Amino acid sequence: MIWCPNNGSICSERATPMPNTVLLIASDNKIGVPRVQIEDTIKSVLRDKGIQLIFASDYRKGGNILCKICKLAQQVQFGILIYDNKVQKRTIPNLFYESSLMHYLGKELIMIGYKTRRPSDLESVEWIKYDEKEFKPAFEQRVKNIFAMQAYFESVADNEIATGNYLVGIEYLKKLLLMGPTIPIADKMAEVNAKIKKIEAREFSNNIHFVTMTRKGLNH
Amino acid sequence: MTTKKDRAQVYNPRIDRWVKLDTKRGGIVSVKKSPGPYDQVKKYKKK
Repeated sequence: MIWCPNNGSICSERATPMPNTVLLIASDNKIGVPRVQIEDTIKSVLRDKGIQLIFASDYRKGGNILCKICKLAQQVQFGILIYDNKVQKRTIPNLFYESSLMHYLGKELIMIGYKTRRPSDLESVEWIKYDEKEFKPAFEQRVKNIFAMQAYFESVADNEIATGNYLVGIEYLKKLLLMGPTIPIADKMAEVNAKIKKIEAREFSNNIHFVTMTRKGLNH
Repeated sequence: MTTKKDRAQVYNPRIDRWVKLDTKRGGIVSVKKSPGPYDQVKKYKKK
């Protein structure tokens, strides 16, 4: 459930997952910084893994930008932030608002910096400093780490489902489905969904019973 | 009541640490501060 900052209520948009996609959060300004090299490296590493790159800047034009970016952040597998010294002052808040959206939605975010100091709030978060020689292996390692989480998510999801915590379990399954969609995971999700629906129906009748009994009590 | 038997551990590669799970009630119980697995806690096996 997402509380929307636009309408102050629960989001009514349906965000369909886009497996094997990554959101690139960066400014449009590519002059005077090794942005082209950074992007080329990112693209080549992701291409090898069959991942498609989506540019947030393409969605920052017209319409309800926040809604479009928020939806994308929910749909993609993880995000990448490029924060360099040529980002225009007006764009900096956009980059960090979008980054915090990713964090809030529980998505992994790879942060890349070039000739900038990261904001103090983010000092504890892992950050890759752009360096011509060391960038590619460092970035590859971070991407590898994200994929290595699959086994972990699978175990935690299994444990949550086995102990009846279906809503938590399904969140882990969602992550797994975004990382690498497979039929067994989709089937497991459908199975858990059915269990949740059953519980909801039971809870609903319990609530009705509770309200009826309370009304009866109030009448006396 | 939750007992020692109701615990299992799983490796989190992102933080390079072992995480203890409650296999009776669900949820993460704790994250090991030092590298290496917990002593006397079974490794989580898929059911």
